[in-house]
Amino acid sequence: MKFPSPSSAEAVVAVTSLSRRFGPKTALDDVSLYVPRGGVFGLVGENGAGKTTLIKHILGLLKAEAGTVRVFGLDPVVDPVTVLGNIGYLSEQPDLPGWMRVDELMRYTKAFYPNWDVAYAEALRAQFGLDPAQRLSTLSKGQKAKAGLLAAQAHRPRLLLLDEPSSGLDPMVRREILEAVIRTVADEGRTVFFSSHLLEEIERVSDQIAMVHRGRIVFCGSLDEIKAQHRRFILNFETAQVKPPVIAGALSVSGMGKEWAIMCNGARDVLPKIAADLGARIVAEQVPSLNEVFVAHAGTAAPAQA
Amino acid sequence: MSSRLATLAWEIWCRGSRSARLAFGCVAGCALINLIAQNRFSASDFGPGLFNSLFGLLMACSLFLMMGVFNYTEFSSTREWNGFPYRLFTLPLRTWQLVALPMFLGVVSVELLYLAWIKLVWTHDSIVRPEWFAVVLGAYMIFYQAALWSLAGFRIVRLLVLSLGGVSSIAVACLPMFDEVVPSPWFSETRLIAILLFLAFIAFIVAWRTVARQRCGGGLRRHWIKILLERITDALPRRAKDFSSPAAAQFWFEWRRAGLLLPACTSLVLAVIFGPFSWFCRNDPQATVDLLLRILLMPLVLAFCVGKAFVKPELWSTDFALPPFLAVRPLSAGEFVISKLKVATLSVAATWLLIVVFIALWLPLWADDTNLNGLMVKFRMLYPQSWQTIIILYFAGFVVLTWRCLVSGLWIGLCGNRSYYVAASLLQVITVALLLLAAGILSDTIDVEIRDNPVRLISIALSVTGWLLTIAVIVKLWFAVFSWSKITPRCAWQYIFIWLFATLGFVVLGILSRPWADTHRLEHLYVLAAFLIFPFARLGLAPLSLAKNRHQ
Amino acid sequence: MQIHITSADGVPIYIQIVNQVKHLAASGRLTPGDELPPIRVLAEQLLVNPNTVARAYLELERAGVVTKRHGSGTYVAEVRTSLSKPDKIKILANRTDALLTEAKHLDVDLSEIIKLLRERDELMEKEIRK
Repeated sequence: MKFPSPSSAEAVVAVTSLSRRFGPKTALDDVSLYVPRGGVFGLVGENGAGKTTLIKHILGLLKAEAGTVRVFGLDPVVDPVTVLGNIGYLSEQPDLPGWMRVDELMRYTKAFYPNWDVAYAEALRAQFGLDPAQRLSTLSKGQKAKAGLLAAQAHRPRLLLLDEPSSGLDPMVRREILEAVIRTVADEGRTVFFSSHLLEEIERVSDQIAMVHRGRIVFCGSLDEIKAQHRRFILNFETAQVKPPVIAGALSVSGMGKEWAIMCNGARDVLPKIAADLGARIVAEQVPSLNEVFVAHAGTAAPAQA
Repeated sequence: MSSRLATLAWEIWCRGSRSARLAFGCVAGCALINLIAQNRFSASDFGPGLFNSLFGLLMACSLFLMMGVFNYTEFSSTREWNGFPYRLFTLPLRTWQLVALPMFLGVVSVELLYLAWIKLVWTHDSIVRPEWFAVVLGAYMIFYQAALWSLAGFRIVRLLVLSLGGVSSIAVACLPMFDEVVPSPWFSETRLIAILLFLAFIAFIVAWRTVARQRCGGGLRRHWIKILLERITDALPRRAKDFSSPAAAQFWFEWRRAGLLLPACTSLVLAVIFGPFSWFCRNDPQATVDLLLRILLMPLVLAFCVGKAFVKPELWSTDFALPPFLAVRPLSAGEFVISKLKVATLSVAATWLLIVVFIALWLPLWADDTNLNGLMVKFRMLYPQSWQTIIILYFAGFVVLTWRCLVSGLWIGLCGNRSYYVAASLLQVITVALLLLAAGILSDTIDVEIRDNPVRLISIALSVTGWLLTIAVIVKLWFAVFSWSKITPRCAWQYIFIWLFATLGFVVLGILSRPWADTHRLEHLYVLAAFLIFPFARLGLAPLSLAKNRHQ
Repeated sequence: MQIHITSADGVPIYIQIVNQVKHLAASGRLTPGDELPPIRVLAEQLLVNPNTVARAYLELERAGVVTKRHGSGTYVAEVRTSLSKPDKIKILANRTDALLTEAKHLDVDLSEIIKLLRERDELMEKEIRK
C-alpha cells in the first residue's frame, strides 16, 4: 500500500523509517507516517502495538534510534521548546500533579503558552464543571481527564495530540473529548492526532486512519480508501470443509461447514479465480466495518503486507 | 485448608527468597570463616576480637534481611497505604489464619537463623542466656508485624513506633543484665520471658482484630498532617497574579514542591532539639560554645540529607524519570536546572535566616556567653583589623556550603539512572568509611610518628595536601570547560561571574584568616581550597543529564 | 434539525446525513427556505468530522435539495428541481433496481411490493398533512 506522503511543508508530523527497540522487543519497525495539516489523523492498534511509543517520539520523549521524526519541520529532540509550545497533549493516564488546584494548573500552564486564550479557558472550565479551588487529587478520573483536556486545548495548539484519551472514561467525558477534537479541526490549519481503541469514535471523526500492528503500519489512508481496499466475501463451498480453507492473500477466514467468510485486503480481482479453484462460489461481497478490518489485521500472526 | 496455607507460605518464600538466601549466606560465610580461623586464632587475643565484630555486624545484617522478608505489606491504591495485602482478603481463608501464617513463619525463620548463628558461628564464645534472646527475637518479630499492619493508616506514627520499637528491643534484651546491678524479682529471666510471651500473644490478638476490621472496610487512612498542611496552605494568601514568564512559573512549581523542606526541617530541629537544650544549659558557659558550633553545622548535615532527595527530578517520589507533566512543558533543560538552583538559593537563604534569628534571640536573652566572649576577645586580638570581614566571610562560606550540599548532586540525580545515583551515594559513604578505617588502622603509626618526628610529618602532610589540592583544582577547571561548553553563552557567563565573585570572597577569607604564626606554605593551600568550594564543573553537566533523561 | 448517525450498518456517514436530510425535506419537516445548521455546528452536534458534513452538504447541493448562498449559509431549496422528467426517472430507476434485487433475494412477490409501495406512500402523505 502506498502511504500518502504530502510534501514535508504540508505535513505537520513527518515520521520516516522510524525504528525502536526496547531490549529484545521491537516496538516500532520501519514506521513511516505523514500527518497532513488541518485534519484528524486516527491511529488504531491493539495494546502493545506501539501507538504510545510513536506518540512519545513525536513529543520528543523518546529519541529516534533509526529514522527521523519531524514535527512542524523541526526535530522535537533538538528543539523541544518550539515544538512543544505548539502541541497540546492529553495522555492516557492523567499525570497531573495532585497537589495543584485547578486554577493553579490553569495559571501555571498559561505561563508557557503565549497563545493562551483566557476567556476560552474560562468558558471550558465552566463547561466542564471544574471548581477552581479544588485540588486535582480529589477529582474523579473523568474530571482529571477534563482538566487535562482544558490545559491541552486552551492555548489553541497547532497540533492536538491525544493518546487514548477515552480509555476508562464514561460516555459523557468521551463526548467532551470528541467535541474538543472537532472544535480544534474546525479551526483552519489546526491538526488533531488521535489514538484510540474505540473504533467507532475513530471512524466518525478521522480524515485519515492508520493502524499499527506489532510495530508496523498495516494500513494508512482515509476511511473510504480503507473500505475500498478491504472486502468481506462469503464463500459457499460445494463440500463442507473440515479445516479452514487456505486462501492466499486472505487476512482472516472464519466460518464452518459450507459457508466461510473471507476478509481480503486488495485481492478482490484474484479471489473469484482462487475460489473457483477451491470449488466454491462467491455469494456475497460486503463492505466491512472498521472494527472487522481491525480485528482481521490484529489477528494475523505477522503483519500482512499489502 | 493446609494446601491453601502452603500456597501462601510458598508465595512468601518466593517474594523473599533473595533476602532469605542472602541472610543464610551470611551465616554460612561466617560459619566457614569460623571453621577455618578457629584453630589459628584460638591462642592470640587479636583474632577473636576482630572476627567477633565482623560476625556481629553480619548477624545484625542478616536479622534485618529477615525482617525485610517478613515485611508482609503491599501498597493498596484504594486505601493509599502500605498495609496487609488487600488482595488476600478475597481468599477463602479466615482472618486469623491469614494473620497467623506470616507471624508464625517469621518467628520460625528468625529462630532458625538465630540457632544457626549460635550453633555454627559463635562456638567458642558462649552466649549467656541464649533462650532469652531467642524469646526476645521471636516476640519482636510479632510486635513488628503487628505494628506494620495495625498502624498502616498512620504512616508517621508507624515509623516512630517501629524505630522506637527497634531501639527498645536492645534495651529490653539487656534487661536481665540489670539483675546483677539492681536485684529485683522483675528482672528474673523466667518472669521476663513470661511477660514477653504474654505481650506477644496480645499483639497477635490486636493484629488479628485490626486486620479483620480492615477486611470489612474499616481502618481508613488518617491524613491528619496532610489535612493540616492543606488547611494551612489554603488559608495562606494565594497568588492571584499571572506568572511573568515560563521560568517564573517553573520556579513557583519547584518552590511549592521542594523549597520549604529545608527551612521546615531546620525549624523543627531548632524548636525540638536546640531550643530546649539551650534552655536547659543556659547556665553552662561551655555548653553555649558547643551548642553554637552544632547549630552552625546543623544546616550542612540537613542539606546533605535533603540534597539527596532534592537532586531528583521530583523530590517526593522515588522515581528518577522526569514526570511526563514536566517533560512536555515547552521549557529547555537549562531553564529547569536554573529554576532548581534558584529554589535551592531561596531555601538556603530562608534556612540561614531562621538560624540567624534564633542565634540573635538566644545569645543575648538566655545564653551564658562568658566562654564565648573570651573566645571572641582572643579572636579579635589575633585579627585586629579584619575580624568582622572574616566572620562575615565564614558565614557566607557556610551558606555556600549548604547550597552546595543541595545542588552538587544535580548532574547525577537528574540523569534518570538509579544505579548511578546509588553508586555515587555509596561512593561517598565508602570513602568516608575507608578514611575512618585507614585512620583507625594507621593510628598507631601516626601516634608514633607524631611523637618522634613532628616536623617531618607536618611537612609530608602539607606537601601531600598541596599536591592533592592542585590536582583537584586542575581537574575541576578542565572538567568545567568541558561541561559548560554545551550551555548557552549567556547563562554560562552569568554563572562564571557568580563563581568568580564567590571564589574571590573565599580567597580573601583564606588570606585574611591565616594563622598569625604561619609559614608561607599554608596560604597557598587556603587559596587552592578556596577554588574548590563553589560548585562549578558539575553544575554544567546538569542540563545535559536532564536532557538525556527527557529524551530517552 | 434532528439527525441520527450510526456507524453500525456500514453505511458511510455522509450518505446517512444526505439520506436523512432528503427524507426530512421530502416529509415536510424541513420546509423550503429553512436554513440548515452551519457545517461546524452540525459537526459538533453529531460528533463527526466537519469534512464529512461538508461532503454531505456538497452532495445535497448537487442533488438540488439545498442551495448555498454566499456567506449566509445553506438553505433548503424549492421543491422544483431543474431536472428533466427522464433524468428523474433514471435516478428512480436505480433505486427501483436495488429494491427489486433485494425482493428477489428475499423471495417477495411483485404484487406484494406494489402493495407495500402504496402503504408507505399513504403513511408519508399522512405525515405531510400533519
